[in-house]
Amino acid sequence: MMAMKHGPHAFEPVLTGAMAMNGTPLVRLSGLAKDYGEVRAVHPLDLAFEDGDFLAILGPSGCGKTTLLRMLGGFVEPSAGRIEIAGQDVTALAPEKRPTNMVFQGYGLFPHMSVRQNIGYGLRLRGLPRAEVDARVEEMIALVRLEAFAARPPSALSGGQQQRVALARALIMKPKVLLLDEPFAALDLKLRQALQDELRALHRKTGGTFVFVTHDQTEAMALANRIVVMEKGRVVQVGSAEDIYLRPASHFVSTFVGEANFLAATRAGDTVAIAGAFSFHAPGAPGQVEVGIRPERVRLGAAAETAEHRFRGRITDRLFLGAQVQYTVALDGGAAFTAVSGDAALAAGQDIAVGWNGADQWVVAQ
Amino acid sequence: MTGRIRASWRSVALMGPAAAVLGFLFLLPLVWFLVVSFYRVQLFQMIPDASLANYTKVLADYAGPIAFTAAIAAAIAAITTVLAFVVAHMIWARGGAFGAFLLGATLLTLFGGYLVKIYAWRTILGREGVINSTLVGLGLVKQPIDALLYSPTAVVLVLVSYLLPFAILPLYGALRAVDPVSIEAARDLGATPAGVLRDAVLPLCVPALATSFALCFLLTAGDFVTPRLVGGTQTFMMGNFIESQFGLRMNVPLGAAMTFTTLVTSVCVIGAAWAGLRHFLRAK
Ligand SMILES: Nc1ncnc2c1ncn2[C@@H]1O[C@H](COP(=O)(O)OP(=O)(O)O)[C@@H](O)[C@H]1O
Ligand SMILES: [Mg+2]
Repeated sequence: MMAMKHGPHAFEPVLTGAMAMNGTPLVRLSGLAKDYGEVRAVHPLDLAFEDGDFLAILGPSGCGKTTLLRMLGGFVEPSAGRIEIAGQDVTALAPEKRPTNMVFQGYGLFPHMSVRQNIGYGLRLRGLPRAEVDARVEEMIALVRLEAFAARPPSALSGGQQQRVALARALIMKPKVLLLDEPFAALDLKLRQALQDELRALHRKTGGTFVFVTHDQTEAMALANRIVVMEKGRVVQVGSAEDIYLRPASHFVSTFVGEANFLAATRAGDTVAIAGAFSFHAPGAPGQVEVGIRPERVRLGAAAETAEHRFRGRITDRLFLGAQVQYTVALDGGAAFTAVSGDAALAAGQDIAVGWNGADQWVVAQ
Repeated sequence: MTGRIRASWRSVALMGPAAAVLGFLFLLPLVWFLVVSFYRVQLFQMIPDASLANYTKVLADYAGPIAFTAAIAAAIAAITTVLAFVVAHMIWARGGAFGAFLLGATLLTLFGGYLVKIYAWRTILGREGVINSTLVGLGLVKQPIDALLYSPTAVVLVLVSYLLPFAILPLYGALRAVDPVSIEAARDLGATPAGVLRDAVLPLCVPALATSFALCFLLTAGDFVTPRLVGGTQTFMMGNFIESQFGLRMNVPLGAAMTFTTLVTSVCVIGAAWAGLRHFLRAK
C-alpha cells in the first residue's frame, strides 16, 4: 500500500491501488471531471482500484459522490477524462453496454413486476434460456432471503426488503463493478447495520468489486477495505479505515471521520514545533500546521505520566456516556481538549496531567 | 365495531351526491331507452311492447353501417392514441422549455370549439381551400380535388385533430407517475431506449392508453356532425342514422335499438382493445 501524502499536497489528484500487481488495475479513472454549467461538481481526479476491492466514496452531502458514481455507471457524461474498466475504455459507452450495475438510492424497482420478475429482468434481456434465468433467480432470492416474498409486487414490501430486491437485481448480473449510491440512507439504524452485515457477507460470497457511496463515516469504515474521502468535488484522501482515521491528510478529513483535538504548531525544515512545549520530526511543507490527536488517545492522570508528550490542565466538564466518560480539559497553554476515558473517577475542577504518545498524533496544514 | 359501521355510513353518505347525479342523468335515461327499444310504433305513436322486431331490423338493415362506424372509430381512436402517446412522451421526456411549450400548446387547442375546428379543416381541405389552391396554382392538378374534403379521410383528420388533446392529457399524467429511477435501472440492466419504453414505461400506461382509446372511440362512434359536414355522401356513420330516427322519422324505439346495438358493439371493441393492450404490454 502506498503511503499517503500529507499536508497541502493531498489536494492534488491521488493515484492509488496496488499498481505493482501485474500492471493494470480493474478500474482506472484518469482526469475524470464533471461541470454543470459554472458549477464544477467533480474536479479532475485520478483513481484506480483493484478487482475484489470494496471501495467506499465518503464525503458530506453535495461533495460530488453521486456524480462520480453516475459517471462510472454511464448516467452522467464526464466533461473531461476517461474511464477504463478491465483495460477497456468505457467513457463513451451507454449504461446498458457497461460491465457495471447500480443499486439506486430510490430503489427504482419495476412496480408492475413481482420480486421474481424484477430480479430476473436483466438476465431475460440477455436472452438466457428461461430455465437458466429461473434457476439463477431462485438462487439469488435465497441469497438475499426473500423466498417468502418472491411473488409479491414491490409495493407490498418494506423498505429494507425493497432494498434487498434492488441489490439482488443488480448482483444477479455478476457485474465487474457493483455501484451502490447510499443504498441504506433511508433505513433506520438497526436495519442499516443488519444490511451492512449482509452486504459484507455478499461481497465475500460473490466476489467482485463494490463501490459504495455514503456520507456516513462509520458505514464506510464498517464496509470498505479502501475509502476515498471527497470534499467539494475533490478527492482529498484515499486509504484504509486506519489510514483515514489515524493519519488523516487534512483538517477536514480529521474532523469528518471522527472527533479531533488540535494544537497549533509551526514546521520548519523537517521539524514540527508546538510553541512552549515540544517538537518532533515530521517532514513536510514548512509553515503553520496543526497537530491532531483523537480524544480516546488522550491520557489523563496517572496514565499520562508514562506518555511521551505531557501537559498540565484542569478538567472543566465531565459527561458520563455509559461505557465511557468524556472530559473537557483546559490545557495550561490555553487550548481546550476533549478526552474520552474509561476512568470515571475524575471530577470537574481537578488539576490533572494530560498526555499522549507521538504515534497517536498527526500533522496537517492549517 | 361501531366505528366500522359509522365509517361505512360515512362513505355511503359521501358517495351519495355523485351516485344521485350519475343515476338521474345517466342510468335512468339509459334504462328508459332500453325499455323503449322493445316498443313498437304505430302512426308515429309509441306503443308499449316486448318485441325484438326493432333489433331484427337493426341487424338486417344496419349491420354494414355499424361495422363501418366501429371500424372508422377504432381507426381514429388508435391513430389518436398513438399520436397522443408520442406527444405526451415528448412533453415528459424532453421536459424543460420545449416540454412546457408543447403542454401549453396542447391545453390551448382545448379552447377552440368543435365546430371551429371543423370549419378550419374545411378551409384547408375545401375546393377553394389552402391545399387545392396551392396544387392548382402550381399546376400540379387541373381541377381542385373534391375528395380531399368530402371523404372518410377528412372525417379521420378532423376527429383526430379534435380528440388529440383529450388523449394527450391522461397519457401525460400516466407518464409523470413513472419513477425515473426505474427507467435508469432498466438501462443499467441492459435495456436499450426502445426496451425501456417496452418494459418499464408502456406497461404502466395501459390504463391511460385504454382510457384514451375508449374516450376517442366513444366520441367518434356517437358523432353525427363531423360526418355530415366533411364526410360527403359516402360517409354515413351510426350517429347520422340514429339522429334521423329520433328526428325526421320519429321512430324512437328503432333509434333506441340502434343506439343499444352500437353501444354493445362499442363495449366489445373497447373491451377487446383493453385486453389486447394488457396482453401485449404485460410484464414478461
Ligand atoms: N443535474 C445537475 N445539474 C446541476 N447541478 C448538479 C446536478 N447534479 C448535481 N449537481 C451539483 O453537483 C454537486 C454534487 O452533487 P452530487 O454529486 O449529487 O453530490 P453528493 O452525492 O455528494 O451529495 C452539487 O453541488 C449539486 O448541486
Ligand atoms: Mg448523492
